[in-house]
Amino acid sequence: MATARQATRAAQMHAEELSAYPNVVAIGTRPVDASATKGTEAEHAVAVYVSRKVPGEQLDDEERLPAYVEVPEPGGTERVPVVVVESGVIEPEAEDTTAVRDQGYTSE
Amino acid sequence: MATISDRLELALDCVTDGRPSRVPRSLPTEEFTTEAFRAEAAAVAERAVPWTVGSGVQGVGIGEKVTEGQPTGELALRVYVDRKHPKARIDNPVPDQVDVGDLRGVITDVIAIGPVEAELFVDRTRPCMPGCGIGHPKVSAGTLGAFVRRNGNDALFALSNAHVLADDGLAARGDPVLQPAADDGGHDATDTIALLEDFVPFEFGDTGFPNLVDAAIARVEGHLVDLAIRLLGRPPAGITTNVRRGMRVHKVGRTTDLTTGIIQDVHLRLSMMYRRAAHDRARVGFRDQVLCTRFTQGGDSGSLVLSSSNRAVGLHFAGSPSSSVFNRIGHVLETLDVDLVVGE
Repeated sequence: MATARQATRAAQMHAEELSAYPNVVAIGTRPVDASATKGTEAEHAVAVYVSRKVPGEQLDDEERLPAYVEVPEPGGTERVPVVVVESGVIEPEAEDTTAVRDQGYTSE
Repeated sequence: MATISDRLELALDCVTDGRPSRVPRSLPTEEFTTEAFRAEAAAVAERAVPWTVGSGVQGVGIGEKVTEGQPTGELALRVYVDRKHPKARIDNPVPDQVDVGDLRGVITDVIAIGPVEAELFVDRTRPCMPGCGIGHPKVSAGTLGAFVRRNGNDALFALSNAHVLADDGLAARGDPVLQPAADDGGHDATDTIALLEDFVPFEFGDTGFPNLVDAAIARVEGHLVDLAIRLLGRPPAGITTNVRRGMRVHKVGRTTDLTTGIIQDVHLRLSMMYRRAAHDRARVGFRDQVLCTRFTQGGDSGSLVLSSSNRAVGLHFAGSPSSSVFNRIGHVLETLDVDLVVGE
């Protein structure tokens, strides 16, 4: 079971490669069970924030995010799950005068 | 299963508008669309007028009930007032709970937030306070987050984002900063409140996450400003670098005033497009950012993000339809080499 610390290391190590997938806007960490907000006992995952979630079957193999990434541990590796979170496009938040941009999001 | 927030939304509609704008899916539609319910809702709204739009009432909303300063974890219909008075001295106090037909026992809470003047954030405001709208003449509008000082000098600087004060970093030192901002009718001839002093240049690149902040400072004259954050009535109490998932934070911004968010991710790496030249946008990768539930909108960029004890935790700079993102305050102050002006 991946700890918060392992998830943080995994997010750092794999941020570059995970960011290269389509629609990815940010990489972070979060507990696998969203109700577990405190402590490090809960299993943690690498969170991949995307502008838009696309069903897996509509993606080519190389476009599909991996189910987990690995971090080295003494005597082996730990698998850290990857969870995909739809955040929308994240933009700098000055007042926006163009109102609605592509993808139907009101930008900032 | 009717959720408590659906019940509250319906109650809020009834109390303020006299009818539901829609019946949330978790509630039985038939019960809340009858003639009898409509009549009841209209009557409730009429009786509620003294405490929904009465003098001293700033607004009505939904939020966590707070009893003796402690959040109770229970959602309530909130009535925002400029200040609280003893119940005995009010002709029509807010009832402890509201019943609308079968929607019974909706608890209420009265929250004192000081006088809210809807246009003040976008109007010309002297003295100018953190939470007011400001911006470089070429920028639509952002928010003045806080005041800072450098190297123990007396000179005072306004803190906000580089994309607010420095036009994404394309501005020159000494450029004017307007209050009100350009989008709110500010002109450099009459509304210059500060002069751009410094900003943290963006490191552009197709890969990597080297950037920590979107931050800039502009020099202000002390007599033009008030150090107290609008709506809070005081400067930040200090800073804290302790940010945790689940922690509640708030900010005062030009567009959405005083709002609260919950931290969801404290290890965020993200990339966004900023202008590298007049017509050239390029990728800027950020590391060590903090993602919250959505509590901001366009124009709130540059707002200081505070803990519940009013200590600064970050500088708001970005958002999406479902989230708001801030720079950690420690990185902001370190990279700009400034100290936050704090007080009680």
